[in-house]
Amino acid sequence: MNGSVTEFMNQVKAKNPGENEFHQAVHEVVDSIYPVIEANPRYRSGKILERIVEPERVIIFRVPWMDDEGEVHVNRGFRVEMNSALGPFKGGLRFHPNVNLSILKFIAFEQIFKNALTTLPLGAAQGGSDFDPKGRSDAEVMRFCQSFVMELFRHIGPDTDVPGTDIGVGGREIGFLFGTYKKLANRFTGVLTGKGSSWGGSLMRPESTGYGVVYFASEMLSTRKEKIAGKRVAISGSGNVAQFAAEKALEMGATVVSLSDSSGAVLDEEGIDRNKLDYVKDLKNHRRGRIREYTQIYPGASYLEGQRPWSAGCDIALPCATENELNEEDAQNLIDNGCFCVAEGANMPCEPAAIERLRENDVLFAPGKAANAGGVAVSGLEMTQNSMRLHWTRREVDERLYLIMKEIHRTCVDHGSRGDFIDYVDGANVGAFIRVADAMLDQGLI
Amino acid sequence: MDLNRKYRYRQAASVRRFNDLIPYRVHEVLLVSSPYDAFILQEDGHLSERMFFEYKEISLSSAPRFTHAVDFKEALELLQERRFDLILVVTGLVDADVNRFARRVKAHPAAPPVAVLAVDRREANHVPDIVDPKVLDGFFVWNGDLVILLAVIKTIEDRLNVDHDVCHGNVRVMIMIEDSPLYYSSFLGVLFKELMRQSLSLYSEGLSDLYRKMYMQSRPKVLHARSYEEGVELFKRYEKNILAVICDIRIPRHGRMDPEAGLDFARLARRHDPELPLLLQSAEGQNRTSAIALGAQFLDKTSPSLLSEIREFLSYSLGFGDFVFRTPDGREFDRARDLRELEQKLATIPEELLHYHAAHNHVSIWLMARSEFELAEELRPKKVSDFPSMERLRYHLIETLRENRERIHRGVVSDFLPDHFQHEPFTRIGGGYLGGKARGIAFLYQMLADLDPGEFDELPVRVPQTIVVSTDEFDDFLTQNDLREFAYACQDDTEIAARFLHSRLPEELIGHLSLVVDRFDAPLAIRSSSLLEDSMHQPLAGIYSTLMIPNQDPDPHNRLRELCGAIKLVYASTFFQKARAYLLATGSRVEEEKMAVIIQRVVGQQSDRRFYPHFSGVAQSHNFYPISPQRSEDGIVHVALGLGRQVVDGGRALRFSPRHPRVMPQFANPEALLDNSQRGFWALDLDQEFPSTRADLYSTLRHFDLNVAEKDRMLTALASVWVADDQQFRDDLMLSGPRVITFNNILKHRSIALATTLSKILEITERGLACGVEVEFACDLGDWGQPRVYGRDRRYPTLYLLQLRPLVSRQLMSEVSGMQFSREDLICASRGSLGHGLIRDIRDVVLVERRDWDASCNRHIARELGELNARLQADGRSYVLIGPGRWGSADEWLGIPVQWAQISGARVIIEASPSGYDVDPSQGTHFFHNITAQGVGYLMLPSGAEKDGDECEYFLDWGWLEAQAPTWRSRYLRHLQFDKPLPIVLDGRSGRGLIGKPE
Repeated sequence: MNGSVTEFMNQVKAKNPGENEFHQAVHEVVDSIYPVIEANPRYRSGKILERIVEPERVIIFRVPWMDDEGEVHVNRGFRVEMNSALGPFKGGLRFHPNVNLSILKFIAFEQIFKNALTTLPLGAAQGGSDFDPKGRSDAEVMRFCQSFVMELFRHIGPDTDVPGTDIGVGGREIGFLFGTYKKLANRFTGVLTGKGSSWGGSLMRPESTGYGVVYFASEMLSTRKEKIAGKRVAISGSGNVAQFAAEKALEMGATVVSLSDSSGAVLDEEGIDRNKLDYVKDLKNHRRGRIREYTQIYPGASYLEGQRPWSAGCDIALPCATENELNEEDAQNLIDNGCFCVAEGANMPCEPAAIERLRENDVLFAPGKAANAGGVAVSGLEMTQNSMRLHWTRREVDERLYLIMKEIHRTCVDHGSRGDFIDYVDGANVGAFIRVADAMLDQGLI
Repeated sequence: MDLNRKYRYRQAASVRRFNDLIPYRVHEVLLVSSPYDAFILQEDGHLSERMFFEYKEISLSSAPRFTHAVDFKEALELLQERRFDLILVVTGLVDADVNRFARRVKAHPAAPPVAVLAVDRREANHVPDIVDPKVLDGFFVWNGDLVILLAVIKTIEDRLNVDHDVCHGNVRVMIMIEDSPLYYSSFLGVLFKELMRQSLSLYSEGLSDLYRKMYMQSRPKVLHARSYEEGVELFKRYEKNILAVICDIRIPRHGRMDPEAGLDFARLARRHDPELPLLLQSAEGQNRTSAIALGAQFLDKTSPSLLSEIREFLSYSLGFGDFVFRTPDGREFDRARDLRELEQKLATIPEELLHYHAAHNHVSIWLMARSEFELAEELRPKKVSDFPSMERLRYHLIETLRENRERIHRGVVSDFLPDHFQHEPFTRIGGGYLGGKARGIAFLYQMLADLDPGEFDELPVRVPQTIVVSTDEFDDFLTQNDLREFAYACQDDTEIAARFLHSRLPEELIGHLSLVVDRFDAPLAIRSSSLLEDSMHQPLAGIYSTLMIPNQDPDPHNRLRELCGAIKLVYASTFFQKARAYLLATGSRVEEEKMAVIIQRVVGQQSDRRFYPHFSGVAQSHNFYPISPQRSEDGIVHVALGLGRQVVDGGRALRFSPRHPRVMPQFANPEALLDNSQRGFWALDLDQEFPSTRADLYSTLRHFDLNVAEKDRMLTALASVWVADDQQFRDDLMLSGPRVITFNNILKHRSIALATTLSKILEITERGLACGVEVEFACDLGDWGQPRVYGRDRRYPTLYLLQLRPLVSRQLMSEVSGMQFSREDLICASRGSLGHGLIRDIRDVVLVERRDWDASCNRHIARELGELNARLQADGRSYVLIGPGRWGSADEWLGIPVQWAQISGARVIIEASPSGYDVDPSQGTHFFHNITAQGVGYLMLPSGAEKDGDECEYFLDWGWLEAQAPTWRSRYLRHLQFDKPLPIVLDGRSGRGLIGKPE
């Protein structure tokens, strides 16, 4: 079996020489789903793997533009339209000098499964340019965006391909891109996500990931007939994700016992209540201070300089800060203190050894690709609202978000149940793959 | 506008030929210097007055005429056209160009002598190596005192005339042997000044012409030698005429410093004449015994009262040529030292005396003696009978003097006149010097006065109303309260402050100050302005106290007490430990230092019980950390809401290039701006008690949160809102969300022309100073963005310039560019470096091993580095950090993903990747704030740079580094510690960075 993975990977490498990032992404996915391929000969006979690694379409184009001094620059624009089995191509645009075809294919490939997992009608794509917006004036960024859309506009559309935000592309860039598209197409449609909330953007984008993690965690608890209310929740980080995770956890009746930032962690045994959370929001969002100041206002809490909050006694841990913030030792600490559920709010916060340790000890563990899919989900909901010509209230978006997280959880359970134990990592990988693969089979060779 | 021409010296009104006995005499001086350096000499218009001491001695007509050339090229052109007797190069930077210039001048057979006056005293240290004695006739160092010009001219005259005068007039000769330019420059000034006093005292007794000429011939020549051999040669040559010998004990002999050569010289002199007056000087006190054994007087060079001891030695109880008011029977009634005093005293003397002096034309004669020919001739034809009354005569005299004074002072500084004081933009109280900072402000003021009125139409630019209390008041204060000895001796700042606060300012000054508090209705800044600031040519920022006082008390007596207290504290700060240590380190004596005080209206608006400007900042003409599209020469500006402390202290401020105000390349994304923007601001707390004994700027300042400024309606022009739903900044404070100081309404939407105005100011001041400049400013936006207030004129935005100074010391500039290393002595060289300066206290290197490194270990290395950094920091060791890729990269594959705290002890960071690891250099953007605020050096190397490569501009001597025994090492890291510091040179102008092997 392993030999076949190697064989397949050799083919991919031969066909896509030099695209190291892409090779790596394909290898990881193929490695995890190979048992499914084996068990389902229809995927092999339908050459699903061979088809899924080949983008449906790649567009590379010239983006000439003029800077404020009148000098001409030429950048390269890309759009990798990877897979449209489940819906219109959907994925971000990245403006960064490192952008090349390999990186974009790598992101677009991962996007297939991320989007499939949301259960929304979303295909997969990724695009961008090697343009560096850093050090550019608003006017230069605008001229670049206009030139970029002059070509891209003929390839995208609300039912064809819907680009969104990524590194170097935020609210400002989406505004310029959208304006140009609208002018060229003479149509006001939901062709891009990440729009301003007064002209087609969805509400709840900042909240979506944090809320989603908590919804997901509460679903995980329900598999053990538990409720989040009354549980002690340790959260790391104090940015967007952590703040809104804490907010939702409080709303659902849990006790939040920790938050952290890059210099240290705050443990508050009495719980970080709504007032204290408002203080943290003001501290981090307005005053941009350090979390240690918390203990000056609330002396009952303790501050751990340079540490993560994983020594806290808790039932649920939500790592929402950064990559590799939870190692094997931390995992053991959590287990020893009675934690039985870990859901990743950040991208890959748990080191592989930590995940292994959690699994061995029968701790519920949800990988970020499932637990933090709330962000992707709200982009999908932006498209939905645009198609319906509606602007939902926060509450409406929140309700949909809850349903989506619940649906993602169900997919993981369906494909990850191993007796009493649920392997969310496998469940997410397999569930997403099967959704795409079956749709591809249904739609025939196209 | 030809700015340069505006600052030329005013030329002496009339110059007549004099009938001399002396073959060489300086009439025509060609002064070669940048306008700012010329301004230093000219100071506040007193040049001609001060120069007269010398020139009345000989005849009524020999005041030297100064012609000013702004550079060598213009000087050479002028030399083609006219004859000059002396060329004086006044410069902040002595380098090979000076020699080249002198050589070209000397190529002409009848070339005049060329002397150099270095404005930066640090130049003195390396000058002997640079100045070529074959073409340069003298080298002097500016010490803040115009008497140096006498020293320059007289030294050169004496040297050229001595043979002639010895032969024809049997004049006496004084030999002075001293090798330190810094020392002889100030010493010769004192020496000549004392000799002049002597001449003047004789002259003012009313001697006949014949006697005067005799005296003049007998005026001793001063011959200056720099070494033992030179001294011996002079001594032998003028053996019969030696009057006295002044000699340093440690002087060069046989080309080497000889700690006892001076004693030998004294013995030689003693053998020749057992009675010869000898003055031996030394910085080493133990020489006293040997000196006294030789029958010489001994002067300890380190003595804080050195100058007065010299005076004592030379003192022959001389008097100045004062104007003496006498009663008709010849009794002395009063004296006037100078024109200003004459003008003042004329107002009050009894009619009887006025009549007596007027009838005898005394004023006119006295003026002639002071080279005030125009003035003298204007007064002379008037007879007493021409005036209807004595009062009219008195009025006429005073008015004529006043008009003359104003003519001289126009555009610069006017005297504080109690009866007139109201809105004069720049006035001075008392005589003496303005000090460096005030001189900078005067320069700004004159610059603005000289510009076309329409120059700053878009955003009016002003200097806040300023009053300077000159250095004489400082001297009087110290003398009247008998504080000198106490202050020189006391080591306790608090005690000094307390004693000064309990002393009393001179009465007349208190009188003037009571008018100041009466007329000023706004808070006041009391700033120090020290004499040495400019002679050092570098900012003494933070060395002396600057204070702000609310000036709000309804009782004027309390306000006066507050102001007097602040001034006394500024005076006290002259003697604080920090200031002393600084003076010591820069080779100055606290006794030489004098303090003027600037009283300035604080720019800003009052809200509640706070007072602050909308924003303050510092503009620099050179950007040492340019990121594309910024260019170094475009300059850089740091601005922040509130008082300037936020910027000056290196707090969070917005950084922009005035040429590219809409681009902030240091912010890679909106989050970076969110993380690094200003959170709070400083304002003057109007309720704060003052004076306290805490003599620092900040006792009356308080830090406030941004929302306070929003409540005060001061944020409108400065802040944007981060709208999380839209992932965008929006320049609209109606929205809810975090407030972020972006200056978007000003810089992006150009509501006021801040960037272009600052650009223009930098350009003009840089030209004026002929070197990089730093300008402090504050802006009051008036009623900008506010609703109309009926019954009051709308106030418009105004930019106030608070200070001007050279950007970095020119000494540093020259040292950096003069620093020579051979390739063998270097560890690292790069043409891509950020930062500026010399670093000489780093003994540690931390490097990432190149052998075992690959990008997958980056995360691990970051962690290990953090631990090592903590250990080094605990020991107080800073280090040079060397490693691959982009330091602090968010992407661990592109570099080691350290947080700033993990490398906080790095003073210099080097990006040096192995070949094949080609990552674009970070240009320091990741830690940009920390790097710029802390002046960290940053050197970038192309991947694979090695010592042995062909590349000379970029290399790193890995081999040498790896050959050193590490103090500590792990698989990935290596820590090297050296006994001697690594010399590190960063030239911010060329982007060149060098790191040498330990010295």
